[in-house]
Amino acid sequence: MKLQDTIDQLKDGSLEQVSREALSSYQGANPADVEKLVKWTQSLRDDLVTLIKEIDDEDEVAMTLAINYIELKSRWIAINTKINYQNFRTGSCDPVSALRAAAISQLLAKVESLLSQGDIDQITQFLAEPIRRAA
Amino acid sequence: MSSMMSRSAMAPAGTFVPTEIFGMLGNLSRRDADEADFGIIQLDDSGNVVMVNKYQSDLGGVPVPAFEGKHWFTKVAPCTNNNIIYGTFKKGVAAKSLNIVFPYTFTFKMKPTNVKLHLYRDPQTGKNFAFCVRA
Repeated sequence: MKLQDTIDQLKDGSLEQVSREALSSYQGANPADVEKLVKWTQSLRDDLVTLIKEIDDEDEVAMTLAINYIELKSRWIAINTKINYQNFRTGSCDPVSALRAAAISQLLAKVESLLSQGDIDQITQFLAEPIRRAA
Repeated sequence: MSSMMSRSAMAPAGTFVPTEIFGMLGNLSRRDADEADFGIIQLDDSGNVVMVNKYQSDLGGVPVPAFEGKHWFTKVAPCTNNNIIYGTFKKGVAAKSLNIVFPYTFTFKMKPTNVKLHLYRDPQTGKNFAFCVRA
């Protein structure tokens, strides 16, 4: 994919719209928290765009997108683990953390749309079991 | 909708799944499952999706064909890839006994949604199920 096409897709405005809609639907979502998290997701996206603009090589951009996807998914996994251990222990979770997890997963979906299925499968497989566990 | 597929029917303490459902699991058809007002996911012993009903497909915004045959814990619902859910499932399959209800929050590429999740292994047939309903 051409560099400018990648940037255009990342900045097409749908991230903000989809994120705002998804987060606002959460029971008990505070509108101020929703806006803060939409802006946070935007800033993560803008950091990625700034980085891509520095690179004048399509293969390197593909690698950068994959690394960014791994980073975002790792962050999401950490927050997801946190909120669901809270659920498990106390019966409920911190709503801002739940919103943050959902927000980052919307950006994740955006970046995922720029990766090949083969790359997504490989990353998914690795992140599903990054360490060897005892049987 | 058949009354026995509705949560308004009597459910045992701790779960939202009507008592009658547990007696039907050996012969549960897709049509029966699609009538339920809660999610039904049938899993093989490895965690691959054998069948998913309409409620669950709609809840996650994932079409049925994208679920079935895939590994639920790592490919379809990576938010369940932890010791709380997947670990409990594996232990239950090994022990041939699984019957536990969790509060849970789904956030992966969807609207953040609090649910109750019931993991169950039918002692008569050895079939595994995850039942799910919005909390």
